[in-house]
This record gives sequence, structure tokens and C-alpha cells, in this order.
Amino acid sequence: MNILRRLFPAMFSAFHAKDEPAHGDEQTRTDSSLSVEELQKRFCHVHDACVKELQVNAQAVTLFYVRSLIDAEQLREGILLPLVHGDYDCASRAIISDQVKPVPNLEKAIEQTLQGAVIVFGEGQVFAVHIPSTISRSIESSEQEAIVYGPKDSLSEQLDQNLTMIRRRLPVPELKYCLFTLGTLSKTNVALLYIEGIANPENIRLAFEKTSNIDFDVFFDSSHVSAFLEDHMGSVFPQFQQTDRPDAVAAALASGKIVWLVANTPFALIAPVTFFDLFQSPEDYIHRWMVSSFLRSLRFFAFLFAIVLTPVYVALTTHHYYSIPLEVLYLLMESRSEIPFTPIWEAMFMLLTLEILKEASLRMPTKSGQTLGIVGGIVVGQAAVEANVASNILIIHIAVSAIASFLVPNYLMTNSSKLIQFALLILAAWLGMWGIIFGMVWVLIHLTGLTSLKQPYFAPLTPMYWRDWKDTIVRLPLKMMKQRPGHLRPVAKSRMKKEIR
Amino acid sequence: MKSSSLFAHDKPLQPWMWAVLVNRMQVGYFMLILPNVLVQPYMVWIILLAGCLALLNLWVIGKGLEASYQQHETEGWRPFMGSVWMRVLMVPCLVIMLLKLTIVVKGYVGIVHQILFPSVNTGTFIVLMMFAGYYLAKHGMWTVLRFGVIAFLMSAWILVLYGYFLLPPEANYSHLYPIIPLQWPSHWLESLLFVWAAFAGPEYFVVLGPWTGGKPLTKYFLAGHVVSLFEYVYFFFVSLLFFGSPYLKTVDIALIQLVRYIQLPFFERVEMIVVPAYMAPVVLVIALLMLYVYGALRILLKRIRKPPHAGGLFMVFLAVGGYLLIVDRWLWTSEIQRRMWEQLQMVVGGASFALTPALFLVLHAMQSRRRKSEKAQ
Repeated sequence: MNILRRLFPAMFSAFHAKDEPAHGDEQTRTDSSLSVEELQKRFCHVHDACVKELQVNAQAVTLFYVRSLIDAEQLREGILLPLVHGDYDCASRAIISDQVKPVPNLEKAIEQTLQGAVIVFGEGQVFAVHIPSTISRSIESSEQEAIVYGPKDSLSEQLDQNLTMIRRRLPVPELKYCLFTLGTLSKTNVALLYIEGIANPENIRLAFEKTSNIDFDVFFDSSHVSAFLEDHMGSVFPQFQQTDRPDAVAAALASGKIVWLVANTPFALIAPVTFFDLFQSPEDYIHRWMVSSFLRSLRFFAFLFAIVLTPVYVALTTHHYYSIPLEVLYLLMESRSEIPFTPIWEAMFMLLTLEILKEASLRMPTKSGQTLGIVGGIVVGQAAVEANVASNILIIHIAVSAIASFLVPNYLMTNSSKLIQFALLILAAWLGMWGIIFGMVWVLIHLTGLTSLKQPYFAPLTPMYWRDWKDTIVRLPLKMMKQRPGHLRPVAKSRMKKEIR
Repeated sequence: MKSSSLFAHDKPLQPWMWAVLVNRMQVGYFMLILPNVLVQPYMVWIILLAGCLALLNLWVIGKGLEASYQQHETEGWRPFMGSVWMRVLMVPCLVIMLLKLTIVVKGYVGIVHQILFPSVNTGTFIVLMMFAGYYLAKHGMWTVLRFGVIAFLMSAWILVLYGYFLLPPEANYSHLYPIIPLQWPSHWLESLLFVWAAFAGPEYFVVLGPWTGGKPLTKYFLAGHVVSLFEYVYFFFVSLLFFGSPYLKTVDIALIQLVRYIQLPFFERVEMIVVPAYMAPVVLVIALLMLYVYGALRILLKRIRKPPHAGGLFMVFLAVGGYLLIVDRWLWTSEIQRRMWEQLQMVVGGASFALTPALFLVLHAMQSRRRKSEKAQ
């Protein structure tokens, strides 16, 4: 933190000014233009904006708030009852809360009102009491990264609740948290988390720099924030890991990564990430290491399978049919004998149909999902074969590649693979196997040049970090992972107690 | 990527990656046609002799790179050569680089055309390869060098595939006779020069001092070369054991033809994968040479003080691409012309590989003399 303070003195003074309680004279001094009338003018035609006038020990106290933004229970228990029944000479002493903040001017009053504060106008004093409404769903298990064993809780839309879940897992003062407010309209709170003494200071500096430079009107999801943080906007690959699992967030922080928590979204952003990180599942560390290694290797194989299987079918049937063994060729000829389309159109038609079905299943109500499965899987598939639109073998290829694509735990990566598959399909139709490998080389060049928070995306392959291979395609026993990933360049390399401090 | 980071060298390359780069620079088109040139089993001694000589050469290059005056890009050469001589030197360098590009691209594209797609125009492949090379070069030198690992992984596995031909009945060990020549082989000097030129390529690393991070690299250079030497001997033996000398003479691109005999239960023409897999090292060389050509042109046009520009690299891509298309259309259309280009590369590539250490030695001598004179003053 000290390093950052030296690097960004102005930024830090700004952060801490926000967090410090209002005790100094400078901060309690109020602008003369600030009045209830002015506030009412600014909130004209806002029908849930309320003004409540009270008499507290012969003093007139006025409260101003927006009803839909505050917690009614806290208003009654924490503000109204102490003010009405308390025996204090001034309003500020009656309210005991750590959420009392000074209101120096009208703009600040508006800002705090919209953040769920009650503005209290007393005898020459104006202050805000933050009692925001905490409408939130309960803590549920993750739908996107469901696991059989392991912790079941997942992040929610409440920033504070998310922080609690992470802090419970990492109860150390070195876990630092800085708050940014992004979006000129949405005023979205974004928390930047890292562990001081583990995360690389250069990465932290870059994260601060990028986050503070964001300028946009609304941020409703962490993906919106990541769009402004990413190094390469022209890439199909996600450069941030998005997860709603607090254990995954805590593990990332402990390994030296940086995390962004965005208010009103359950998905945290993690960076720097590598291509290989996106194939990891929290369950990898729960299974026996040999099982985990097998499953993880299977995911990489499945990803490759998903993107090349259909293009290989097109390449073989269009250009290299002489490469197919005779027995298989007979089957293929029989299967394709009555199909009037070339392999590329046949494959393109079926792949697009599959994508339409997948997209529809996401949008349709859950109860209709089963019907869609029957319509898609049996009716369309079977009918396509019987109508001689597609061959049996192609249907098998497409079904296997679709199932294989879901083995990748990261949904964003699964979606990326679709685009690559279509590109490879076109290249396969044009130049056969050479075209497919040309496309693969292109993707590999792209991956080699890609960065996440300016760190190589294709590490630990290139640049090569031998030590990190213990937890990349295979997952060796935890006891053997004595050091944090080298590609993250952590300050404290060792995970062992003695060497960390 | 910002255009100014084309030649950024804030992050050094890991030392062992130089071994991979040396290796992939040495295994190119010449390695594929080598068995057809050498043919006789006793010619393996020529490979070993050339390999040992190249080992010495690489030792000098490695030591030269370790020298401190290489730590600041081409600036390090300027005090000893002067900017005028530097510019003069760039002219033959450009010729050498363009010749290397011609052999690498046209040689590979010729194989693709002949083996995979005789109906597709070679120009199409040249354009695609150049695009891939440009796309890689656009990411900057650091990424290009890192791509060496990918190029290695994509093509080194082919070595294992040929293991099938080392065991009988595919391998006929009587084809190794005579391993000791019964008489002094004719054309031995030409064969030696051919193998020597095939080992050329790592001399291009002499200007990559800033990416070494000042670390000693000689042993990694040598390790990379030893792997290359093993590959040359291995592939030579494999093709010899299968075809035998008399038939080997008549087979065109024996190494590729050999793969056609491998039949997997689900795939019978493995060359459909092997030939495209060699694309990665070719793209690596194209990208590297494209950046070199751009660098050389910047020196030649006195633009070295200005930051590199992405537009400049694009112009180089267009110019080099156009040049290769001209070569493809008019200057490399027949077998005779192919032989002529191969002979030219054999001489020029071999000479550049041989002369680079000499240049290092001269520069080192100049540096020592300067230091002595400074001490005397």
C-alpha cells in the first residue's frame, strides 16, 4: 500500500478523503446555498422524495430522503425514534451511527441522497445518515460454475455482502480494498481488491490507473467494466475471468491476482488471467490430483475437439477423401449419397441450426426448455437426415463437438470457440487441412500476442514458466505447489508460512 | 499493440528459448530436401562435419552476443562502423534477407502446391503466408521471438512420427552400406556447402542483443544446434533406411513422400497434417525477416532515431509480398530456376553464416584497440 501511496499520492488522498469521518472543521462547514428548498427543487417531480419536519427539544429538524432508496426500518429505529424520544441538545448527537457523513454542498447532498442517505437539516448543521435499502436475493449456489463438492455459496448483487464472503475466507489486514465510483449516470461502486505483499505492485499500479481512467455513463455489469479495462478490444478471447464463486475469488487473490467487485452484479472480475486459467474449475482442487489432472486435460482436448471436429469433416469430404480409410469412406459415401449440398453448406446449415437452438434454450422459460430439447434434438436432427439435408455422420460430429464445447468451465470461452469454429469451417472448405492449420496458426499468433493487464495471456507456455506447469494442464498435489504462479510475478513467491512474512 | 513497441525490448527472452529459436531457424526447406542431395550413406560424415563447424560458428556468435556493446540495439555497432558504413552494410544485408525469404516461402509453398493442392495457384499460398507473417510481426519482436516455442511445438512432434521407419520391416539396415566411403566422394565440397547453408539462420540473432537481457547464451545456442544436428542425421537415416540410396535419388522431397507410407486406422494420408504443420516455423521466419527488413530500411533511410511506425511495417509487407509474387510468377517457375535459387542461397546463406562471426571478431578487435588507446590517453 505504501508503494502505491508513493506512486499515486493524489489518488490516495482522494480515496481517504472519501472514507474519513466528518470531524474536522473543514468538512463540517456547509455551503450557504444548501437548503431543503433547493433540494426539493432539484428533486421536483420525484414522487418518492420525502421531506419530514420534526421538533427535537424545541429545535426544528428537517429530514430529506428518497423513500425507495432507504431502509424504512432503519429510518424509524435509527433516526426518527432517537430524534423524537432522545434528550439531546442537537440532532447530530441523537443519531449514533458510523454512517453519518458531512454534507458540504448541494451537489454532495444530492449525491448522498441518491446513494440511500437521509439528509438531516438541524440548527445550522447538515449531515447525511446512510441507511440504504438492501434489497437482495439470498446467498444461493452458483448456476454458472456449479460443482458437486465444495463451497456452495456464490456472490450476489450486494457489494458489501460479497466483500464479507471474501474477507471471511481471507481474514488478513493485507487484503486491501479501494472503492471507485464509475459511471456518470449509474454511479456504480467498484471495489478493487488485492493482497498487499503478494500481488505485483506494477499490476496494482496498472489496475488503479486503468480503473481511474474509465469514463462512461452507465455500468450495469462487470462485463461493462472489463470492456474498459481490457488490453485488446479486438479479441474473441476473454481477457478477464468472470466468476461468481467467492472461493475462486479468494484463491485468485491469494495467488497474486487483482479482483474487481462491481455493485449490482454477482460476477467478479479477475486479472491478470491466462488462456489456461479459463479451463480451471474450483472442483479441480477438491478431487484427487490424478482425477483432476485427467479431467483438466480432457477439457483442453474437448476445446480442441469442439473447434476442429466439424471443419475436419468438411476438409476430408471436400478435399482429402482419399485420406479416409476405405471402410470409413464407404460409410461416408452412403451417408452423403443423397445429399444435394456440398459439405460446407451442409455443415454450415446444421451448425447454425444448433446455435439457434442453443440461443433459444437460453431465452425460453425453463419449462419450455424440455420441449425445445425434443424439438431440436429429435425432430430437427432426425428430420434433417430423413430429408437428406444432412448426413448422419455430420449430425454425430456436430453433436459431439457441441457437447465437447460445454466441458470448458468458462462460458465466455465456450462462446469464443463458436466463432473460431465458423472461421475454421470456411478455411477448411477453401483449403482443406492446410486451411484448418493456417487458422490454428493464426489463433496461436493471436494468443501469443494477447495480454491480460499487460501480462502475457499465453503464459506459462510462452513465455515459459516451467514451475507453473504443476497447475496448468495437469494439477499436481497441493503439497508440491509451494510457490505462487511465476507468471504473476508475485512479491511473495512462496506459499509457505515462514517465507511469506 | 502500439507501433512504437515493434522493437520494444523491456522484457528479455528466457535463455532456453534461444535454443528453440536456433533450432527452428535451422530446420527449414533445406532440411526437407537434404536427403535427396546427399543420397549416399557415407554422406552422414558430411552432415557431422558441417555440424561441428557450425557449432564453432555458433560459439563465436553466442560469445559475441554476450559482449556488452550489443546491449543497445544497432546503436552498439555505430561507434565502430560509423553511420555511413552501417548504411552501406544494410544493402547486402537486405539482399541476403530477401534471398532467405524467397527460399523459405517459395520452397515451402512449392511443397504445399506439389503435395496438397496442385490445383491452387502458389500465389494464393504466398499471400496467405505473408499475411500470417505480417500479423505476427505486427505484435512486435518480443512476441515474434516468443512464437518460437509455438513453432517448435507445432513441428517438432513430426520427428516422433518418423520413428515408424526406424524399425524393420520398413527399415532395411543394409541400405546403410557403405557407411565408410570406399573412395573419396565426388562433389563433397558442394554437399558440405549445402549442409552448411542449411545450418544457416542463427546468424540473424546477432542484432538481438537487447532481447538477451545480457545473459550468457552460448550454451543455449549450442544446445539448439545439437538438436538440429540430431534432426538432420535422423531424417537422413530414416529416408535412407526406407528408400535406399539408388531409389532415394529418384524420389522428390523424400521426407514428405515417406510420410505417405504411414497409415493410421482413421487417417491414411498423414502428409495432409505434416506439411501444414511446417507452416509455423515458416511464419516465424517470415515475421522475423519482415521486422529485420523494416529495421534495415530504417537505418538505410536514416529513420533510426524516429520511433518505428506500424505503417512502415505494412509498407514492408506490401513490398516484400509484391517481390515474392513477382518471383513466383516469373523468376521461380521451372525446376532449373528452382535449382538456381537453391544454389544462390547455398552460396549467399553459407557466406553470411560464415562471415557473421568474422564480423564479430573484427568488431571485438576494434573495441579492444579503442579501449587500449583510451587507456593510453
